[in-house]
Amino acid sequence: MTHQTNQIDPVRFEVVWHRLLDITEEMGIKYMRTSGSPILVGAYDASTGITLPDGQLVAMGPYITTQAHVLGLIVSAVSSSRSTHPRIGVGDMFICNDPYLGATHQPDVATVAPVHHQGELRAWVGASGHWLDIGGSEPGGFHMNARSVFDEGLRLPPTRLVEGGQIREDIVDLIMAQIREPLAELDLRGQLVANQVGRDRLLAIADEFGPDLLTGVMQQGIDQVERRLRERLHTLPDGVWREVQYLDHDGHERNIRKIVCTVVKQGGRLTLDFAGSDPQVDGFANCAYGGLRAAALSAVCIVLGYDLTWNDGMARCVEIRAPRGSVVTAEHPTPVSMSTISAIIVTLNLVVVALSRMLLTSPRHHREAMASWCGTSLGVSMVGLNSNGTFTVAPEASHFAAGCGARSYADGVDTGGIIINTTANIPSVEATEDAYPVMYMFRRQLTDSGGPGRFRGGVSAEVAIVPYDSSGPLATSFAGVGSVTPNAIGVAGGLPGATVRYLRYLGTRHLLGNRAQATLPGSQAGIRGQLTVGELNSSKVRFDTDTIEYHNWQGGGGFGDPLDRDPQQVLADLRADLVSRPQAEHVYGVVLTTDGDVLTVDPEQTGRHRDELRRQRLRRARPYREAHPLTVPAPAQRAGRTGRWRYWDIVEIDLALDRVSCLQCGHVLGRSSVDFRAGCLAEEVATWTAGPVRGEQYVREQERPVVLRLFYCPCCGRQLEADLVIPGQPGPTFAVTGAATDGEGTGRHG
Amino acid sequence: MPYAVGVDVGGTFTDVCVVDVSSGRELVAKAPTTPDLAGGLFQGIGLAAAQLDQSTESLLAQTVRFCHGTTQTTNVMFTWSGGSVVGLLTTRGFADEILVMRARGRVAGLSLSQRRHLRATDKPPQIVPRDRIGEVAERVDRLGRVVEDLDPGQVRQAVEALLARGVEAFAVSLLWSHRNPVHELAVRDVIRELAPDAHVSLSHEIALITGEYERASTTVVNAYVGPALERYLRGLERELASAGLSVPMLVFQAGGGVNDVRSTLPVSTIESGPAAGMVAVQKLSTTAGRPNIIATDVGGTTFKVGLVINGRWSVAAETIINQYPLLSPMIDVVSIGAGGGSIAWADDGRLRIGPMSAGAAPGPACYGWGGTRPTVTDADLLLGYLTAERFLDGRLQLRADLAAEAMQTHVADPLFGGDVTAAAAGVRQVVDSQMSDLVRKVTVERGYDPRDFALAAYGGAGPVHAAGYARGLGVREIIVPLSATAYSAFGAVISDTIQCGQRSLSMGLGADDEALEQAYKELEASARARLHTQRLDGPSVQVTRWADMRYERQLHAVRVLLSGTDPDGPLSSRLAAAFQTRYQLLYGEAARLRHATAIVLRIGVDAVAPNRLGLRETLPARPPVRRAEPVGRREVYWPEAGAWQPTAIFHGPSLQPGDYLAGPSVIEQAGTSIVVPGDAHARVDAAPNLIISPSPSGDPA
Repeated sequence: MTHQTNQIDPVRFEVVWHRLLDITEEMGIKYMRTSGSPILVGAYDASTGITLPDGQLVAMGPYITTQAHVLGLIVSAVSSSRSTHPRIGVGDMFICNDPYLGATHQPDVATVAPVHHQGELRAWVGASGHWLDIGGSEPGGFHMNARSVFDEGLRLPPTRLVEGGQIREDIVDLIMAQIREPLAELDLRGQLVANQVGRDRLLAIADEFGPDLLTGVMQQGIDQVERRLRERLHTLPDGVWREVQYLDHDGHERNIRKIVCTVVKQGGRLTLDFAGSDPQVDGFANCAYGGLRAAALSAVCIVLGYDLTWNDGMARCVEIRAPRGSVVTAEHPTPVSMSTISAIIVTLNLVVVALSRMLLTSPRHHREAMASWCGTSLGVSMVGLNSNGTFTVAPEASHFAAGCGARSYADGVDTGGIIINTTANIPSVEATEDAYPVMYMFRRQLTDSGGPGRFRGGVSAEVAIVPYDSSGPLATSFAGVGSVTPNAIGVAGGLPGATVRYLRYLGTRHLLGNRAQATLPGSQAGIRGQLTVGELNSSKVRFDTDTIEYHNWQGGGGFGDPLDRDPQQVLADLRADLVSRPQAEHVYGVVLTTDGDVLTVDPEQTGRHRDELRRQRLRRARPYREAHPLTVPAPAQRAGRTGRWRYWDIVEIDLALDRVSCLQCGHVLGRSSVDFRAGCLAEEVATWTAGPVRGEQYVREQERPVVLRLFYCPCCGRQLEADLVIPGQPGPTFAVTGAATDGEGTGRHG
Repeated sequence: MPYAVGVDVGGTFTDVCVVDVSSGRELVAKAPTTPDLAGGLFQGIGLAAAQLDQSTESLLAQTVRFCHGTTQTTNVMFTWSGGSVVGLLTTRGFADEILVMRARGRVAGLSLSQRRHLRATDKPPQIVPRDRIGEVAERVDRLGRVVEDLDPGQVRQAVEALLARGVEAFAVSLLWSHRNPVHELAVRDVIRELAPDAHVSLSHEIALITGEYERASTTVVNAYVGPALERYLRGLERELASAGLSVPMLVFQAGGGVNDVRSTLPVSTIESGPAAGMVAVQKLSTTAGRPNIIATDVGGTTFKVGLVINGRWSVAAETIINQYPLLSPMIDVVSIGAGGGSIAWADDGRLRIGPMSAGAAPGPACYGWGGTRPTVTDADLLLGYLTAERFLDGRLQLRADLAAEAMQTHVADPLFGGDVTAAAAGVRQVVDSQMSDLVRKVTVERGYDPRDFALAAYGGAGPVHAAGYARGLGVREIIVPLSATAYSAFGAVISDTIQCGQRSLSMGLGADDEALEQAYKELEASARARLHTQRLDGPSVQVTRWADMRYERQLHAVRVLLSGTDPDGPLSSRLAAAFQTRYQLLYGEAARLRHATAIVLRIGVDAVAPNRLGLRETLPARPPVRRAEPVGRREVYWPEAGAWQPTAIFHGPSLQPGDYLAGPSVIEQAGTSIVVPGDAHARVDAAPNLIISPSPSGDPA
């Protein structure tokens, strides 16, 4: 273990460190209490943080992880652009939401404040939050029709909002004049209050313990996290993991764009290289570099740093490389206002999966691996007049109850939240009906939406809504991606969760005024009306009082071959409406019989049926090398070490014997330097083979923009991986190239 | 002689507090809690009776008030055993709301470090699995209008289906039932007809508030713990009656009051122990003339913080128990996992305390029960704050050698160059500082400044550390009740009978004053009627009206209180004034809103029938001051001074009202010590409480 020579007394360190973490929380409390915005308080869509003078993040508050990761970039932008003019002075604060300078997207506005102690800059504090509105043509900030950043509302370069402790009310007015929601002023003032509290409390520490100790503790707190992450990385084998993910809509039309990430892990370092990602689109689905960095670092925090303080100690272990002008590094003036619910969340889940596959090569870390959580998010709002004629914007936020990714030992949590939010929350149906002119027909967990696997991905849910007590029709804006691509992919043979679906039933007669005419539909099957499939990223679509709007969102990805799932668990899912009977029989291979009124598993028939399904796989599939020769990965560079790893319970990789073999049947799949997929049988099937609502509503009859490429052991027929790919294009790969430098057991270099 | 008896059954000990009503004299007894709960309870009463040279029967025969705080329902919730087989009936289309848990259920009530470990988070076990949830076709809208009629035939099928699945307790929670309960009542009639003996909890009776998930969760938990609690209480009532008790047993509830068995809402007895402690602190606030008190209770595994503001406790907007939200009225007490049993460890050059705890088994290393990891209690012993041979009146001989060994191996060697004293002092400073941060957060989060408060410390490890964690807060003084060992039992015995009523409204302020007044009157009448069934009514009943209000489109509701007798102006302007004052206090000037309307979300009344015991209403005259005599002197390590210093040791039970002592001192109590640092002094008031304040020259703040 390496220890610094100038260690701070551990007691003082611990006292000051705890106080620093506490300050980020107190800043958040003051911020939210001042703002009171439903987005902040209801969904915690905000962040607070403390950085070193150079912008390195020391600590962040318990809110949206991705937003905290931009604070450092904003501090750097302020420092580099405002040091000479207008200068950065004592008591100043700067506001910025420029996505090309670090902000995730325009509605996420950040305010940062330098902390000077006796004239010397010691730290920065910052608060960021999703404002209720940011001007432009769309209330709420998702600008579907944007072709450039100039269509996307207010963009603030680093601007001195507080000068020597005095709020520049002229600038406040300038900002508020661009914004339709006057309550957003409380968002702004809340950030100022938060920064003031943070600054005061940091200065109190500097006064009590001395400013040098404060600086020392902040630096040591980052150093320690860096050291801990490096130690953890050393316990994993070196290797290369490539993942691919997709944006299926650019804001104007359906249009599949790839995000590619190659993770190289060597010793205590990680490189995330996004080369191969598609060029930026001229719609709002891109993200800029700040968003990419936030997504990548958040994934590292979640998967590798779950027990560490989340700060830039982790960033020091990670190098992010990316070509300029891609969908994840969009450049001025390309629009990016949907980034948080498109490119950022997709990238975050992509990196989670890549790192999880890395963890699966070491038994010590198996438990920490996860399949993809719900891969995208949505922005749904309904505007119109309520019964007394006042204009209202009703957000529909049920989609935050999304499916979580399955784990190596348990199912993903059903309707458990999206991955970017540390503290998940959706409004109650009654709270929404109380505030807005809408009525819910149902809000249900969506059967079969969890990615099938030995451990099932968490299910998502579905809602149906009708205008109620409104003055005339409403209009719906529906932003999001993921209706064609089931982004919540599985791991180790697990299948993806459901896609997004937006349906409109016209001319329904369930409700006339305030009375039910026919029985109200308690489920999708019960809706009587003319069905039309709604396009994502449509703006202000007429929502008549006899229309029922329906949507569902993505479930979590599965873990392991669904045919390995305990049949009793399949039965339990069936009883809980989480899985349908066809899904139980066809995807899970479970044969059920009825004994009187009671449904039971027939174990013998199930065994036979599953064997038959495995045989069918082997009959259908072809050797991967022959079927898709151009997509087979090249051998990786070997470090020339020996060692043996198990990729979960899927394959064993033996460098000494230079071979990879199936852990179920022992069949040798190939050489250790080549991805084991190369030795598998493979087939490409429609995404909806994994279950209903996997994009089939959004593609024409024979169209297959993406498919599932399934890999089977040629001997036992076990499904070893299930990748989401564009037909004929390379998919995910991995190769272990060397021993863990601090591994245990078989992984250790002797 | 008339006695009032309070019994608080906790997880480890059953505390009994007996008050001689004519003299106001109190005595306490402690017995180990038994699995059936009643055994420990009778043993405790027997021990108390013995102190009075009486039999249990004769004590009970002279008892004029018997108050019982029970851990029965808390145990059911935390062990997931002993609860009923619950079935839930809900509006068609919404069966999954209780399972979706507003997505919050995965992380509700978890600490930040737990929430950040996303992979390890899960929703809690389901009290009602999906196949015990039935949907009934019906719909009511937000104004209480029936949109779709209930079909009794379909309800009958749904109830029969649940009965076939073995359901023995029904929770009924329909959308908007709190605005119009007609369908819930009709469902109840069907259940009564088909299963006359089944327990039925109706959501509009359990929690009359907007939010179908929280209402259903509270209702389901009530149905889950209700039947077992009712069986336990009825059995106990019979046993007490046959042992001579002639008054009805009163049950303490987490809202801060007692009720007879029939009027007790089962869900309100969950976590009632800490609430009873708050009742005692409120009493302390009144008698000691300190309107604002931060109550801190440091036990073996938890650190609890509550606030008394202007002589009142406040009720939490919601309480999370095992990740389930409960909206029954509960005194706001925040519980954090830190206490005497928290384990200190070296983490790559850092000194960490917790979150692991040695708990009661194996316990701190110094207990000699097999624990080898050093805890906060071990540090306290090593530094001289605890007296090894007189801990728990000598019933537990503490082992300093084991404490030193554990501290040496796990903290001193890796972090302090082998210096055990420095390690123990470090542990103490770090834990005090972290508790201080937590108290500060709880106070600030509720809109208050700790400098406006006195701090009360009780529980096993509270008085040992209070001076340390109060140091950074700037509180004015520390109050340690000298009878603090059975504080919850004392709280239970002095508590009043309280009936609460609440209703969700969601109306603009001033929109309809008459309707508002009418709603208050109905709530008040119903609360009074419920007191009447306990033969409590008349002029002594005090009714407080409250309202939860917020600005339009804001999310934070603020609770404002109206005293029932205030005659000035119309209701809405009184509420508006109270709201603005409170809002400013909580959110400050920056949160000013130019043209916003206030909305009344929820109104409620608390109808209080005072207990008439007249205990500790005022303190006796200030006793004459005299210097207390120490029983000994020993070296104690004071981290503030960085040195071992000769320290006076006092015997707590011998201290008398009027006694005065200067720091540095340690006062021995059964199972704890009160620590008075060198820059402070302490005096004993008439209650008796020990009041620690900064010495004129010193500055502990």
